[in-house]
Amino acid sequence: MSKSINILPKDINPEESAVAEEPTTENGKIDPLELLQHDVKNNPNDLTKWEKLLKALDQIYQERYSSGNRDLIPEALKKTVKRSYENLLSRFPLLSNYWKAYSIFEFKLNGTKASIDVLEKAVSSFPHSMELWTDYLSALILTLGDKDDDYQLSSIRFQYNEALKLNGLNFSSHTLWDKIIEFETSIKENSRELLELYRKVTKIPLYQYAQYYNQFTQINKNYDAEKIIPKEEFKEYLEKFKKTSANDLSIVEKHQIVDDYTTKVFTSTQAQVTEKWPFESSLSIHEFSLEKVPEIENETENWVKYLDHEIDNYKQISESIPHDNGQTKNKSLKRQFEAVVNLFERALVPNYYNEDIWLKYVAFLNISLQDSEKKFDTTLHIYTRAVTNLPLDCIKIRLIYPKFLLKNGKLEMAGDYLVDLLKLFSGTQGPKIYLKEQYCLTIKSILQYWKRVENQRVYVDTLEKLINEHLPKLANSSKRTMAPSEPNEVSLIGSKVLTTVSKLLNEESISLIVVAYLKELQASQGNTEKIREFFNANYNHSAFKESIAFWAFFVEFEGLIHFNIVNLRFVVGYVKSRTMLPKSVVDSFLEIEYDVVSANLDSSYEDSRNDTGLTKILVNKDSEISSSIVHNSSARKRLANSNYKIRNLEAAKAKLANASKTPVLNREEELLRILRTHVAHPGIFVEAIPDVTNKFMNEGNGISLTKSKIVLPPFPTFKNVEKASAAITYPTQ
Amino acid sequence: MSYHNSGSRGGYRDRRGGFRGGSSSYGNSGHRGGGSGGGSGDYNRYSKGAYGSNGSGHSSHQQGGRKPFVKRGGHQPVYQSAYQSAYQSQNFQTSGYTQQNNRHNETSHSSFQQFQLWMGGLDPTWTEESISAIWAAFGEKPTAVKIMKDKFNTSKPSYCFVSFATQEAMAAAMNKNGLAIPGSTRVFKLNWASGGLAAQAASSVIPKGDSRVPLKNDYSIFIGDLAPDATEELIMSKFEARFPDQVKQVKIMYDPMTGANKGFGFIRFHNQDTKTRALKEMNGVVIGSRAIRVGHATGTNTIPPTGAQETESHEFSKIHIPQPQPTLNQFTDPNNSTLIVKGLSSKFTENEVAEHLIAFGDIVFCRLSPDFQSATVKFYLRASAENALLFLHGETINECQIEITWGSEKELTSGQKYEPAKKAPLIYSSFDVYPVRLDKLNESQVSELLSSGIDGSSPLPAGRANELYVKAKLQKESSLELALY
Repeated sequence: MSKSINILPKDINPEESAVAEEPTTENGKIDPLELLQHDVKNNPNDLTKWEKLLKALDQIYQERYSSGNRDLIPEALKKTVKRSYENLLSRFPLLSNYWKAYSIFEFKLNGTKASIDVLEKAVSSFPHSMELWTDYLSALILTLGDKDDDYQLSSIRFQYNEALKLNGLNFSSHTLWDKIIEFETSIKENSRELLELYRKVTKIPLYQYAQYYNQFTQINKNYDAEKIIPKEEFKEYLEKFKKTSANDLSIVEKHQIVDDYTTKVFTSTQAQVTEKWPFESSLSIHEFSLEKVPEIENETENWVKYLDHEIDNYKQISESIPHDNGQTKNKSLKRQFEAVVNLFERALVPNYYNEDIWLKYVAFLNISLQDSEKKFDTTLHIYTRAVTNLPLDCIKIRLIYPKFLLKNGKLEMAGDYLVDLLKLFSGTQGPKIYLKEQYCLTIKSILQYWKRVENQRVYVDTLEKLINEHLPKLANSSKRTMAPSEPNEVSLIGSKVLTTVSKLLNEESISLIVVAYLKELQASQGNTEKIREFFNANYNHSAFKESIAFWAFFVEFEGLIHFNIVNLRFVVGYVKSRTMLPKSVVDSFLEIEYDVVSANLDSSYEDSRNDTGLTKILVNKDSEISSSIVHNSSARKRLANSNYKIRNLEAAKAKLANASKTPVLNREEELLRILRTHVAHPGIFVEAIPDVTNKFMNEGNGISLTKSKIVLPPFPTFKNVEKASAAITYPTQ
Repeated sequence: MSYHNSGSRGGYRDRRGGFRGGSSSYGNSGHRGGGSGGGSGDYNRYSKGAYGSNGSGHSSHQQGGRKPFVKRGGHQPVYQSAYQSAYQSQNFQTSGYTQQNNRHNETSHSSFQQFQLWMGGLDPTWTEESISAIWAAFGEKPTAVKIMKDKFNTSKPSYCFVSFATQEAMAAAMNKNGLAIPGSTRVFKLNWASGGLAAQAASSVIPKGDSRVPLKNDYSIFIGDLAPDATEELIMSKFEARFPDQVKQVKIMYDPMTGANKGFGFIRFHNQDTKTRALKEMNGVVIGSRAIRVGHATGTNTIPPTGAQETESHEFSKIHIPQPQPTLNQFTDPNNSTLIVKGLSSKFTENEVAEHLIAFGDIVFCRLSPDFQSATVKFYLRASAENALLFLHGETINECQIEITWGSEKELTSGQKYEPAKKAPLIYSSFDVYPVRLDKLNESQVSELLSSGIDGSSPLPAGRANELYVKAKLQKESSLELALY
């Protein structure tokens, strides 16, 4: 399923998406740069347009300022560069190449400090990028003047530890490790820090795992065995050598122990690499890309398989029976947890817009984290990242998120979020993009949410209020459904929220609210009358012309609950001749009607005596679901009423007839006439159909063969023969 | 030398006289409808009736293989009406024969009426001269133009007959049908004038040269499988190389609409030998980018013809019927099952579009354009698409005035060529008890559908039938349940 990235949430945000103004002309010519900026603003998802703008900026720099002093570069250019890159990268923070280009440009314009700032921003916007971290650390190391400056050293160490925490487990993170090890070696050989790094890296399954093993074996003899080997294991070694303390060991023995331990670690790492290799080798795209979407989608399956495999490993560990107080188990569980999280983050780089992987991530956190507060915080963080950055057509995760909030008791947060979501989809903000499917689903979620947080009375009241505002004819305005809610009953749905929602309603959502309302009425006893009253007052409202749920409710209500054949026939009769529901839906209703009537023949006939209509239901069923408007008379009626070609014709004729006479057109006949112009070649309309004008067979004046004298019929005369042989006009493409 | 030249009826009479004593077979010819028994009796009857005029012409024709009368009938309306029809029928039966003789004897005779086109849709201001000028501007100067006016209603659009000097000129002129006339809003509206068709039929055999009828000694072969880049010159040079000085003419058939060759043509040789050799030797010779195929040209005679055979030598496959095949596009492709639904807005979701269309059959895919303005829907079967188009044409749904028309599977940008649709693989059953959207299924579901199709070739067990019935009901229910609003 290929999905193009259409609209991001920030596009809807009114401040940022103020529609780009047409570039103004200065001195009669348009600034090409401004034109490019305009272009980018209108096509923010088109990287080629961005590319053009950035290239143009670079060119301006190269031509005018590359040789001169930095101070001569005008502020305006600096600002434009900054704004352009920031806009692009805040939209697509995962485009690491653009971050790099940005930092280089900043270096050219403003010097080292500025370029490092850019990189810092880069690693905070895209923390799981090894490349950016490596660049950032390199830049930091380069600026390190004094090796003994403790403050600077510790700040670099802090940064690289951060980098390792986020990316150290990445299968191909050797560039990062190399950079850091190189740095530590340059500071001081055989330092504590270096040992720490090697102890870590040798245990991680990396593509270059053997290299680190080799490096480590070169230097590990410089360290004390006790420092290399964890306490527990060192004790075991001591026992093996039958010594009580490390001091009793000879140097040869110590070396033996270190070698043995290192090899052990190596073998275990090697086993892990071998296990992961089939998965790793199936992944070729690790970077975020807007162009390689199909390739990425092809690989998504491999990512999912890999994730499943690692999650299974995690589950196995967590289900295994611990020995030694569960310490080893906890340790390896934690390691595996980190590995899975890291893998998720890696997977989400190319598959950033794949909401299924986000959901999988959340699900994994749900099973793996025990501490409920930590779980909530971590999961919330993931949800927030997803719902603020994913394109608007990712609706699944957006609707699961409020459920998650509800589950964790954040009622208000969930409610506010849902209303915000409704705003986002309603097409009232920013570029006014109405996303119908998302909008309707959000309304459904809001209704569910209200139903859950309020008691029934308040819920029904709320629905009634909304309906009253939008369907003035609501019949029950005089009598209330339930006892009026207590004035002091606190409603979670504030009146402000209600007015906001009310403003955002349209015909689609009103029908959803009506159906929810009717279902509530139906659920409580004794409202049959009321429901029917509502129907009588509103069934021909335009909001319900296309609402499947509304009609499905009444077909079920009359046909399957109350077995009221007369009413059912009215409902279905209206649907089949007056609404604009899809044919498949009308067919379903017709079938339900048929089934209900034929299953209750006795009572049906009892109810509608002296009425041939009932028999017609049974006899005409097949023609009523026929897809030919010649045979299907109810569909013909329905279609003729909502056919705009016929309407237009009517309007034109009415104008001609001076509006004094009413309908001059039989709609159904007209529909059939239109059908005839293309029935033999659908979609290609030929008005002139050749015909014999003096057909004698059809007009009752056939030749009688019983008479002895037969008068020869006249030769046929034709019409439209010439027109029909004229060139065919095809619809314009 | 010929009868024609002798011209007078007196000549006939003479001949007749000579004949009188001779043959008795003549009377049996039966053309007059009254031929009874003996020769002399017949003769007598004749002499009583209308002796002296046409009967004799008839006989000479039958007997001598010389000819003549037929064409003259048109020029010299001297015959008495009683015989006119008889002549005409005779004329019809033997036209191939007579034409052939014509060629030998009287090329000068070629009547201009033979190369006549009907031209309609005339501008009332045009005169015969201006029409002639229009044609001259196109390089097809007519020999004559005759405007026919309606006697009673002179304002009625009139038509005219345009005559041309040669068959080629007429054929070339016919190709202008439908073209715009310069300096006017009208287009050429042409048709063969009556009688032209037969001439046309004959013409395509030998389009060049001085003759418009097949030759008796026409040693032609058919060449087929021509590459698009094969030209007459190229073929000529190939054949000349093999059979020096033996090739008389090469003719490739071109499509008047597209200008591309139709992939076949004819080659004429000077003698039977070369022709036989060419048939044997030239098959599979590569000309241009493809190997050609050779065969007997139907309609030419390998056996020296007798008169009777020759009369049947019209080959209907060669009759040019002026109905050009339209170029292949989404509207004309008979296998196209893709519809494009226009006039949508964001009030439509992809599922809703599909929901409105799925009642007509299985949908291969349904895609909404990124701007929500249109959708492309491909049905599995052409018939489904046709039904949907007929049913929903001109409807207003979700406040959108939708317009459905034929589309193409791949989005066509301007200037891009339409790719013919592939015919859907034949399946002998429906996919399921209800129409399905194939793009919503994964591979294993599709293969399951294909394997579980019910084709009616074996009786369905009651249990299975029930299962299917329930399945269909449940599906309908769930689709109502899952409705967006």
